Amino acid sequence: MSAQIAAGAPDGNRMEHLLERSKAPVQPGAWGIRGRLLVASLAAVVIWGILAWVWQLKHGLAVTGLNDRVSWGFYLTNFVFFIGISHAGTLVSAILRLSHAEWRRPITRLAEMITVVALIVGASMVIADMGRPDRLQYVFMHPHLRSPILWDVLSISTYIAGSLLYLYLPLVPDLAILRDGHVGGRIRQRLYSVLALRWHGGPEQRRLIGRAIGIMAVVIVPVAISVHTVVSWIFGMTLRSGWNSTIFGPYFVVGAIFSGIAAIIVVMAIFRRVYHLEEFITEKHFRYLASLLLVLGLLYAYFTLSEYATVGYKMQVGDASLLSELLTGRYAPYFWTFTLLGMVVPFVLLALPRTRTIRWIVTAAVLVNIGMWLKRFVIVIPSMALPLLPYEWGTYRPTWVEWSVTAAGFAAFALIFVVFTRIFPVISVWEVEEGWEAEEGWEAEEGWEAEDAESFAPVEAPLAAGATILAEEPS
Amino acid sequence: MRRLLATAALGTIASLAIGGFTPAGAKTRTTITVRSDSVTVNGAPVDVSVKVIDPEGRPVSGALLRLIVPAEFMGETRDEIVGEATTNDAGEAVLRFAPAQIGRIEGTVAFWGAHGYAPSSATVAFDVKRPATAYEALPVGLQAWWARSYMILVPVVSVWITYVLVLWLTVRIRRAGDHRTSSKKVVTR
Repeated sequence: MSAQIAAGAPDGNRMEHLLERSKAPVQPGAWGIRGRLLVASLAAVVIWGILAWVWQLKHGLAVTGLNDRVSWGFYLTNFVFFIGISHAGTLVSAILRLSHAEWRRPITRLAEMITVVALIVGASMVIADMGRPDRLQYVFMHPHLRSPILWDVLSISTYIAGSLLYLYLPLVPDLAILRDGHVGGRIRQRLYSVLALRWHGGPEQRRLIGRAIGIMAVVIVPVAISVHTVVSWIFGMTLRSGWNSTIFGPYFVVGAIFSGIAAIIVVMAIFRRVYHLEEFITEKHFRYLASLLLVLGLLYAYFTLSEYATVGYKMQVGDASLLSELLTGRYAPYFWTFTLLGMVVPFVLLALPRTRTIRWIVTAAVLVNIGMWLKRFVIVIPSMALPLLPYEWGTYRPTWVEWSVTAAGFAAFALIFVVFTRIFPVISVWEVEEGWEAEEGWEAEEGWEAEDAESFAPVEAPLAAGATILAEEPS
Repeated sequence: MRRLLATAALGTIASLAIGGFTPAGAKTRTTITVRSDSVTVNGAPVDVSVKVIDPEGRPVSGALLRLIVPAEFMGETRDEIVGEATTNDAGEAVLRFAPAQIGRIEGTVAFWGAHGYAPSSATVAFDVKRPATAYEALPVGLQAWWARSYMILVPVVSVWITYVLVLWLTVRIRRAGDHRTSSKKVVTR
């Protein structure tokens, strides 16, 4: 199983190394005992969570901390969190692809995977939140277009389908590499063979896949933005204090991209270390993403200030009570932990030149993710606990069932990710190769026709590509 | 003690007077007549005047009357008791009802029978008009417009059509693989 390097590749050794490294995780026996132990541990947590959920199904939501006053708890917090980090793939892959940011190439696959996996886990949290999941069918049987719940179902299912397509398309050339490299056993070879779409890298195939990726890159961005806008509208379309806000749409979208970039940094760091991808995922990638993280973080801080300042100035009865509990009351520890861990400390780490190293950038990203989970908690729970009539505040204390399902959600995220990278390359080989070629002006030397180059580049004039596909006759 | 005994005796006589001496199982028929404004306004109370008489035309007093109208909740229509009143000595009662819906309402005034009188009922209908100035809960503004103009469905369907187009492109990629031509760039590995 030796990878043949294309004649005239920019740097044979580098290319060969890339092929070897990208295929390494998918080689039989690549994991070793530690990898297997990790998978077994994650699977055990997932199974425990599923058992807890079955227990909840059997005994009803009474076994959770949810009650008639606080009917959304950990599950909805997790849902908003995971949908948030699913924006990672959209931003890094689609937006950077559309804006011709060349440095994106080694990390697009990871970002796209985060999107798909986070969406799957996030959507499953809604199922966990339902006391009677069988009633989900009513959303489809009796759809109510005025309901934000239906908007959510529509947008998330559309986003999952689009993200899967967007993950799959750039995988096709890499699957052909695995197919032709005879990686894996018979079943995996069959899988690669089917999914590789008889790819051999001819001009027509390159033109078509470039066009398909271009269309998806354009489409997936508004779909992703709509998803988190709609998620925010589940809260924002109500008259509850804390949720009754006109800026919730952009506020949530910015928060999602903020936490999404942080998730990419963490995942990048893990896979870089585990799969020895230091040569391809360099400090430059961390620094660029750190800059993005800082900008988005500052934007999120601005939205947060704007949200609480306008509410705090008017101090309507409900809002005043909510703010009091958030800033100095029972929810103050969560709120200030979010402020400190999710914003202040990461901002300092990301802004200071001395701490703009991989270690500190990853630390900041981890803190951002913790902080953003807490932020979702203080968005969801206090507004539910706030009494709408002159009663006492509602209470919410998550039980072992919710802790177990939450742990299973995070474990499932890691497990699906690990299993995915066991089957598919973690780096988009052909995109990295394309980047090297562009870097070294290889096309011109080889007399590549401008037309070919344009059609191959996945993001070249994607809007024009979209228009052409509509007009073109199927071959 | 004597006073208590006297009260009990009077009560027995009174119940015999209301129930008459009709043997058990052969209850006296009753007839309900209803008088009401047939047109009313949403939310405004309307009085339904009711008279209950026996076959001889004698008023039936002490009869508990109920006004029942169909009410829709969460897509299901059920009968709801919206008013109760007891007839006076003249066999008359007034049921007050404030319709919450708009349109034609067909209700029933029912006497479920008591004191030897058989049950009876009468229908009553109202045309409930929209008030000149009304607070409407649902659906108004964007809520109504979104549902009517398919603002949600059109973009969602458009995106899914695009997905289908992209899937069609993948089919074409596969077909293009059947006609292998040499590439100037990366060849099959």
